Amino acid sequence: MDKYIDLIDENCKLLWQAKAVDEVELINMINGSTEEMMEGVKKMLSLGIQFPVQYVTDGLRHFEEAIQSQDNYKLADFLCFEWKEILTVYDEIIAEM
Amino acid sequence: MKEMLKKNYEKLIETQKKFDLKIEAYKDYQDFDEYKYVSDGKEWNLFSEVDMDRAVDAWMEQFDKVQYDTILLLFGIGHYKYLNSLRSRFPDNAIIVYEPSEEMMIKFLAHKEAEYFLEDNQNFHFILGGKRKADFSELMSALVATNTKDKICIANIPNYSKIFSDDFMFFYKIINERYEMVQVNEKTLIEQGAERVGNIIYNMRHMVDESGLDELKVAMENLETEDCTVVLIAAGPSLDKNIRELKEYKNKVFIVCVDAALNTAVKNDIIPDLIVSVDPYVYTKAIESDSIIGVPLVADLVSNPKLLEVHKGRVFYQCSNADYPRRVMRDYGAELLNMPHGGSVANVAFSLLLFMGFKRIVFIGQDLAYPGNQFHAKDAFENEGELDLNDNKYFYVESIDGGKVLTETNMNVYRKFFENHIKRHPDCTFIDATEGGAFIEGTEIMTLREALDGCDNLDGIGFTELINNANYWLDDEQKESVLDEMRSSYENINAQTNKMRNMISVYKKLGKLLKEEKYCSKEFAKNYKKVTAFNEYVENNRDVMLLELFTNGALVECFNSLSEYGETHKEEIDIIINSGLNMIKGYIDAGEELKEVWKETCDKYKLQF
Repeated sequence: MDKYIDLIDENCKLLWQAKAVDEVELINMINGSTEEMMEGVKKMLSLGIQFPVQYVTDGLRHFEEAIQSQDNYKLADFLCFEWKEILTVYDEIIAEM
Repeated sequence: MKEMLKKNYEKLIETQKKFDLKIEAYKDYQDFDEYKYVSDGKEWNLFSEVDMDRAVDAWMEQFDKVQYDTILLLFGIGHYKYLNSLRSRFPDNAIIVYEPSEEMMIKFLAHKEAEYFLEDNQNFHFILGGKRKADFSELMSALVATNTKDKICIANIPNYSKIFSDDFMFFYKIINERYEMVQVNEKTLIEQGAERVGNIIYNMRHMVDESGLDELKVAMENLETEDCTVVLIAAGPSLDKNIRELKEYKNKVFIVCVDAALNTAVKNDIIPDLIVSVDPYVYTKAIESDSIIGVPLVADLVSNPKLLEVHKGRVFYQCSNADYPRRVMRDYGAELLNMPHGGSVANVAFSLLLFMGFKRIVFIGQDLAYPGNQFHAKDAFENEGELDLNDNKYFYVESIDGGKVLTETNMNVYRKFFENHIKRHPDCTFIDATEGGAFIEGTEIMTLREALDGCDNLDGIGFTELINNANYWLDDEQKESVLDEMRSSYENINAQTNKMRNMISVYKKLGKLLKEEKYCSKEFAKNYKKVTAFNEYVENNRDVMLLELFTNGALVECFNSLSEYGETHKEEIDIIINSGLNMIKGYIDAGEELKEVWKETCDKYKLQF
């Protein structure tokens, strides 16, 4: 998930500096990371490991709200403090598997 | 909080008197830490709900290349933590904040942190958008110049561009226009080269016997300029429609004519009360006519000497771009003023009228566009031809009748200049009686007859007589002294350039020591000290200013390089050495060319300094 986390850091910096972000790139990042996580979650389930999928579902809803709001702070808060957190937790579980 | 607001507001208006905030309407806004701004029913965050410090740290990263002399220009105050972080990291840098919202300004003032910034009135400046946003263009005009343009670091507060989109567009429009203007000026100065300098030399000699714009203003003080209507004649194609009608208003309204419109005026038997000519090249044949030759003239130090040679009336000088004559005259209490302009002589004339205190200005021939595919009124210039419609530099703008009319970029810049200045003078009436051309925002549109109906100079004051009685700048003794100084500066050109040449070896020595990594040696320090002293000399010496009349590519490049910074100490010194050598080359070349042009001009016009 490192490439997604790097992208999140870059975009948060842009948002907090009031600079333009590429929304399509962000949507692709969210979709790409979600797909990868879902693949991983399947493996986790087959090994009997639980992953809080609800966080991902809520996150996707929050992302849509943040994108629609066009609000730099809301979008950066979501990316940096919600989605990045989900990706980090996912990475940690994968690393322990 | 209300007490804090009152105290801080008082402090603000102590230094920036223009502010007129409705602080009594203040009610306890939310605290910054949970601050939301509602605009058009939409709620925006002005803080991070999770970690504002993190957001501010990320915002601060854009200032990593800020130097000690960088001017920090912000669009918006936002959360007080932005300004706090900026000031604590850059305690000595100038900070200018354009805040579009009165509500945000009041909220900031109600915060205890504001006190610290308001005490720092040398390095901290607020501009409020809305009604006061014209102040910003004034500030930008003063701030952005060749030697400062790369020292300004601009940053925005998150969400401000979306909440205050009109102000945001305005903010960047003004900045871009100013940068464009500085670049155009640099290019023009280099291109005009010798011809421009020849004009300045001629006019420097001529101005000693004449007066400045202050004297013109004082001369007109007996006239109630506030109650007097002034007609400003420009040379647009529509001038042919109504110039004849002006004749019956002679001595009832003050008539100011720009040089390009003079031929048309004379053909129609209109004798203006004042002519304005500031272009280095324009020469209008009409100046030779008996009725015009003695009409007072406002000229620039770069104005065409041929025109001044023929003209026999009073001349009032302004100076758009030459520090040397300005400095010399200032020592004798004479101010060579510069009227703001967007590039056209009509802009200069317009600024002059506002400076003189006129409150009702009527434009004619001010098309700022090409109706009927014509450039100017038919008698303005000989064999001018028509627009080539295949040329894609022309585009349409709104015309005064709500339709469309062709124009091009420079005309558009001139129009914007008028519009910006009209906005700044709500106490004045501006009437566009051009009866054609582009729509100028802020003007009332009328026919010339409608605009002048009922105008009468009740006191029957002769405008020309008033102007002709204006004081002269200098008495005979002062004139002699000024001419002595100019002559001495000219005779010193060789001494100056020799001094410059001697410095080449010092810079080269520094370069050699730098290459050998000996920049901590005593020898390096000794030579560096010489460079510092030399730079101080160049900056303050009046005779060196004379060389600057010849603005050449090397000098502009040198001024531009002053804003470059190296990543390391070594790189920094390398830049100083290179720009120093460039500067010396620029001055030496300027000196050589100046001597030649000085001699040629004096011979051509039989001038004696």
